[in-house]
Amino acid sequence: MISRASTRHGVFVAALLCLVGCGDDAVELDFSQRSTPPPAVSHDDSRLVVGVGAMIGPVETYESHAGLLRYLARAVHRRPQLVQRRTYEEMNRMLISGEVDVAFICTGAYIPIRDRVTLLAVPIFDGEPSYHSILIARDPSLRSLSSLRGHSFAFTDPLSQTGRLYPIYRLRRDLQTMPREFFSRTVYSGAHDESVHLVLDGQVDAAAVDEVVYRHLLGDHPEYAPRLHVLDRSPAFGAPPVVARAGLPDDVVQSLRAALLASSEAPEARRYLQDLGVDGFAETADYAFAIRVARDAQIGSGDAPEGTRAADVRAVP
Amino acid sequence: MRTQTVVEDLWERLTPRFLSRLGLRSRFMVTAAFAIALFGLVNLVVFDAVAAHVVSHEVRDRALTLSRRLAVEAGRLVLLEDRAGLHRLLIETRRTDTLCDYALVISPSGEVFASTFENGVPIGLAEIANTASAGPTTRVVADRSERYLDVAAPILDGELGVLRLGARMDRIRSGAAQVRMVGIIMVAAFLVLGMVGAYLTAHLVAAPVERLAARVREFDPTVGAAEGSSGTDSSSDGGEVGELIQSYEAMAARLRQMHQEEEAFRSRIVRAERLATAGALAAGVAHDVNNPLAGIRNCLRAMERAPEDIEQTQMYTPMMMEATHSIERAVRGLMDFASRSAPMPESVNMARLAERTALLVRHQFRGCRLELELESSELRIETDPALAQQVLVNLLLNACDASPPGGRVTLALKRAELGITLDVIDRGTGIPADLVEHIWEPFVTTKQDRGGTGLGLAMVKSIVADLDGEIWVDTEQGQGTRFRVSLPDRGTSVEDLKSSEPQPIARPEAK
Repeated sequence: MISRASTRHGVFVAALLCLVGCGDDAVELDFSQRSTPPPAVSHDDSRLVVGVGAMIGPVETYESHAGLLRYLARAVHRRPQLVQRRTYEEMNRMLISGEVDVAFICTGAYIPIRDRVTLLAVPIFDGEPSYHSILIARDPSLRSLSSLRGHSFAFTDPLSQTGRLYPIYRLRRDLQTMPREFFSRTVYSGAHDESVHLVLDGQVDAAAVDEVVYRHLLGDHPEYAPRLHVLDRSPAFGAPPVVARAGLPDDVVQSLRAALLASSEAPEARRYLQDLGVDGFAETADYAFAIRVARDAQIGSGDAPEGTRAADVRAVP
Repeated sequence: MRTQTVVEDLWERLTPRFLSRLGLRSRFMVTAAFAIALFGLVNLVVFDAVAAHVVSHEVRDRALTLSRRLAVEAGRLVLLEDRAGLHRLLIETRRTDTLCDYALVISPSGEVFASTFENGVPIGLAEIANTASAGPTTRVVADRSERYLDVAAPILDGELGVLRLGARMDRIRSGAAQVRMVGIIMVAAFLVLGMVGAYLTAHLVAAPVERLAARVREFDPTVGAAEGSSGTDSSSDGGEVGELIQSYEAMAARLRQMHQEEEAFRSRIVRAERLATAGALAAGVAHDVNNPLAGIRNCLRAMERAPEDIEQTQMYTPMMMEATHSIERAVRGLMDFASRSAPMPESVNMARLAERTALLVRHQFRGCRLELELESSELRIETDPALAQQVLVNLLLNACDASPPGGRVTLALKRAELGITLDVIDRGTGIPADLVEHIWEPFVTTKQDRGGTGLGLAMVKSIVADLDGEIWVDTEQGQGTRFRVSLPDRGTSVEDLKSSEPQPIARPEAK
């Protein structure tokens, strides 16, 4: 028989042991026994590999596109696989090599490869399959493109229509100059939202970004609005299209296109369109202006990129 | 009152036996040390448990935070399929963050994207927690003696897989050990400070008590109050101890007063007894005065009858002179005896004193024979002759009283190591056993019918003590009694006397 005193004593000891944190169920393993990792699963026909150009950060991209991807994969009875790369260039290469089946790419990235891929659909923003490039700054004294002379500037990607090609086009056309001569310093941020953050943080004085991304970001972070202002807005470009790689079976292409065009009407897809900030999808858009801008800008810029990567900027305090 | 008794009883039972043998100061210190040590030990145990708990939580929280942050960064790299970047992230984290001992990123299908393990992931490690959950979960992974806190943080709510982080748990233990060491140092510091505090407190409490104890120890009723307080100021002690000291002072004053009264009483008794003895002796002395007086008277009558007889006058004059000297000696002997003052030591030949005393008392020895046994005719010591003689007179008269008619009384003197011893032996009936213990007390007598005052032996003991001597009695019913007095030579130090053990006296031989 256990006396009351010893029971109390036991409770005290148990409480102490709990305090010390004993009593955990340890998983016994032998760290000297190692397993070699299985080889990565190669591409197969059971998946729909969808690439998304790095217009925004990878996590934000994943969150905004995951739903629509699943919707598209279901339409062709495949399992979705999202692929992202840091640059538009890499994504273009994967499209050409056939590593991705479908890709959401920037207009600027689409123009050079438009003959080697199949246009599936074009997103509709505010009722039109088009979008704009805007110049943003924090300093209120910066009121126009010309006022940015001698200031630092952020591009998004070398192939970005709104984030690089359009401002270069404007510099050449209106001011007959080049970024290297006009700006004190330029960087590549890698994504439109990153460019906005660089301006907000004072890392650069101004940036050119996709208006859709900008409005989306301000919708999520209203506190940014008073600290930024738009000093220039481009004419409309054909919106960043959804394209399919060459060689993707016709039925798959048709099914995907049909699914995209019908998405605004499909109840299960409507929520995913909201995630993207898209009203729906159109069959095509007018890319004539975009082609001109891209051509003029590319002629002026040459092969060498003018800027450093944003990551390099951030590493320096 | 009852509660107090119970508490005291409990205290008696709980206090270790040895504690009661220690002094107040030591007792206080031991009790304080024990209390502090016990308190420290309890503190240490609790402190240790709490520290281990806190450290383990801290490590856990840090591991969770780190894993969440890593999961966000890993998410971007997984989405970009940047395995090299992912690997670099994990390796860098392990290199820069001491908390990270291993890390791996596992896809929802269980594929290991990247890990800090160079030659493959330990078998079973990836399978432990690769399923998604709302937030980071922890478990313990044991590899032989090493234990790891394994944190699984879902990447993008688990849709992209899980980031796993392992932190060695001995970090928790070493952290707790550091805290424990601080605890031990603190307890040690408390112990030292506590002991100093206990010492000071013990000093505060014990010092007045010790002062009081010293005062009690040194208390001498013969020394006056101002002298006796030896400069200590009792008013400096307040509270119970002060009260105790005041009570003691009052008691000491009463004791001193009683002692003075007793001293005065004793000296009166001694004087009264001496006068009584002198009275008894006076009768004998009268013989010594009468006989020469009779001789002088006869001489004077003869001279009166023949005043012209020069030859006769010349013959009687020296005889009369001798007779007056005899009278003078007899009277001075009595006067010397009767005059009593404070002890005034001088060099005394005790053999001569014994002879003179024998002469003084011889008339009182009715029917008794006094035998003098002197070891030497020169037994000189430093002592007060009058007091020494009074001791002899009293003991001899007592012996004679106790002796049967015609009995012998022996007065034996011999040199002792530090003075002399004198024995007064009678062959009387002895002192009854029930009376032996009380013979030194005043008013105890067996001679009420013969005019005994009962003060004789009390006075004898008192005088012997005044002379720094000692007295013993040895008696046997029907055989006789021996009183042995040892008188020191006051020229030798008192310390020498104290060290000399009194020898047991031999039983008086019955003759």
